[in-house]
Amino acid sequence: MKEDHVDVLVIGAGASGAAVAWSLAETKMKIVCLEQGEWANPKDYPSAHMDWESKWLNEFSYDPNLRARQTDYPINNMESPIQVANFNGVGGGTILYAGHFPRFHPSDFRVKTLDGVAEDWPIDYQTLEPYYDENDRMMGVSGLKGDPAYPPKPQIMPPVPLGKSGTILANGFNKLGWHWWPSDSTVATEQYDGRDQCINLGACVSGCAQGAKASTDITYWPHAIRAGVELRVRCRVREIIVRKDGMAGGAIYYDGKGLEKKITAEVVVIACNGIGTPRLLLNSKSKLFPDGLANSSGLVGKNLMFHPYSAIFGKFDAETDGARGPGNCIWSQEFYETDPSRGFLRGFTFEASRGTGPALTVARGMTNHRIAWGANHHQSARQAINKITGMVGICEDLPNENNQVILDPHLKDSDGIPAPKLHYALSENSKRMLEFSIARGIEILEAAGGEDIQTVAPIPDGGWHLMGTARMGIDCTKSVVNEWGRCHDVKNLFIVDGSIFVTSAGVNPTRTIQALALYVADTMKHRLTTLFD
Amino acid sequence: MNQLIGSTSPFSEENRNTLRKIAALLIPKSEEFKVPGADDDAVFTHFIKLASGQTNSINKYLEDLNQICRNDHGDSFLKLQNDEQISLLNNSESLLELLLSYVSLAYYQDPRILSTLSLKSSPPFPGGYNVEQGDWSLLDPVKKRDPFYRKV
Repeated sequence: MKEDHVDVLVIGAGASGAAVAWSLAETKMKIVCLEQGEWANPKDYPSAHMDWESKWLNEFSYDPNLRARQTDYPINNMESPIQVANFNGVGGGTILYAGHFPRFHPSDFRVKTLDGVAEDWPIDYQTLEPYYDENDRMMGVSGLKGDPAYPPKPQIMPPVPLGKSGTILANGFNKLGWHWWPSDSTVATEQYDGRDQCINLGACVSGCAQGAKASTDITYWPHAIRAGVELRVRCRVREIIVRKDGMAGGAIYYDGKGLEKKITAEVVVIACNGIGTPRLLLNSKSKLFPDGLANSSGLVGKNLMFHPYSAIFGKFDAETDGARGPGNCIWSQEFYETDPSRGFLRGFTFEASRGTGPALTVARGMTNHRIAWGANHHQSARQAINKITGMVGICEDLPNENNQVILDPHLKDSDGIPAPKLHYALSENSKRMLEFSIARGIEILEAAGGEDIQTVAPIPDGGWHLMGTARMGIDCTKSVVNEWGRCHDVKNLFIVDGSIFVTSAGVNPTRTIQALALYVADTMKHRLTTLFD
Repeated sequence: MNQLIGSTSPFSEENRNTLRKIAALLIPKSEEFKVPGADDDAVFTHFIKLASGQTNSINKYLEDLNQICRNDHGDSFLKLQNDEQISLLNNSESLLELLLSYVSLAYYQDPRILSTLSLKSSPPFPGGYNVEQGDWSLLDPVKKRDPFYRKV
């Protein structure tokens, strides 16, 4: 049988796998990426269909247990108030993300020093800044420079439109004298690198049929493949092989027909994010690593962080955008930096949400008794459709070793690989932050003229951001990877996804995940001759 | 030979009829707004397709509903008067919770209904929508603020 050997094996073709593969391609090494899912076909995306709202809630749901494709793996969420959201395929979570693209703040890397909680990162904002810039060029970011909540950053494309909803909410923020700014977004407002500009389909979170939203299947991957990277789909990795010398030797995986395959490699890079990465490491047990690969610290799977979300929406007399336009609109970081007088440490970002489509508006309204059924239904529904807007509060989650991913003793995927199980509880700090965000959100909506305000916290199916389960650090007893993504225990094994986050910040993580992946790749390139020392 | 007698429909004929009646009660036909009820053929077909993901739960709740009807009224749900049916539905929270979502999703994705709401009656793609830029001068007071991120 022909030996399948490569220089670099990347596992996972999502946000970080695409970035690291593209960056390493210039080395001319033989690089293969294994992805358990498939290429997305934009004609399948819900917005190309009349029943786009129910398609989004079913076959394009961000809940893998509900979506339940052959390419998904089940997740036991029973012991968590927040359910995991993800997508398995080329592009990973970027297929279904909203495209909100904030950077971390400089303070986010110094949490212990500034606020006495969690740990400082072993790197800082300045280290990542050039990689943020590089990633912004690759993904194509729309936004407006000059945001006083941030250090200066470049503007590539004009911001997404304010629209009716943004105008309503901006007036609310202004009445209170609070910060707001057009969101940084990966929704292209102009033609960019082969992508067409946004035409306001309004269904960004179910895949962009226009191709305006930057998912890595249409940004990094075409460039990486042209540069020589081989991407194999429907290849689900079961475990990482360990050589006799304790180094990673490649992987065992199942192809689309369920056949077991083996690939060997000089370097292995894991890019499966905050749930998939610890699952793979914990499934890679061997005589040398009986507790899972790279787990001498015992921290693989621990310190799971989500972003607990609050949602605050109100009804307005004026028409809102509803589902029209990119979901991204404006954000506020008035409450981002720590102010102990608020009763909690760290902070959160408000992200405006323009509204929802008519079917989802009525479905939600009827199930929470705000839209009548029966004789008064039609009048009641007409008072809600395209009349609702609001925001979500994305709260920083602090690491806690009790919040963790383990292997479920019974649950398995379709290839028989043990599935992940979560143990997660909200901290008191998170609960106080959620309460505070709801109170401030209500003030904003009332200042904007809203009524019949509805709130939810935490959003139960809002586990979009998966972080911390193989964190980085200099001390090998307190972290899984070092300050440039290399596992302390296995010197040819790298991790580049959200699992290496030390803290979560109060913003969406994808921009930082990708900047980290580019930084790790660049460090590897600079150290090629001493990579394993 | 019983295994040769079957149906591809997730619901029995009686349960389909009950669901159609419930759909009409939840979203009735309206002369005022010139719209059909959710028992309309196309809407109901879509509704059944969406509800088929919860067949077991719905069949169980319908069985419970009919049992209550027989115990309290001596007849099945379909034989009761409208006001009695509405009263029973009001007390069937679990069934309503499931059906309200499916009925509204089916109804408000029908192009005829969307037209009566002056909404686009075709998929978002490829036409898209116009979204106004809005008044960017609203940002002027924020632009005057000094940077307030923490320096480290």
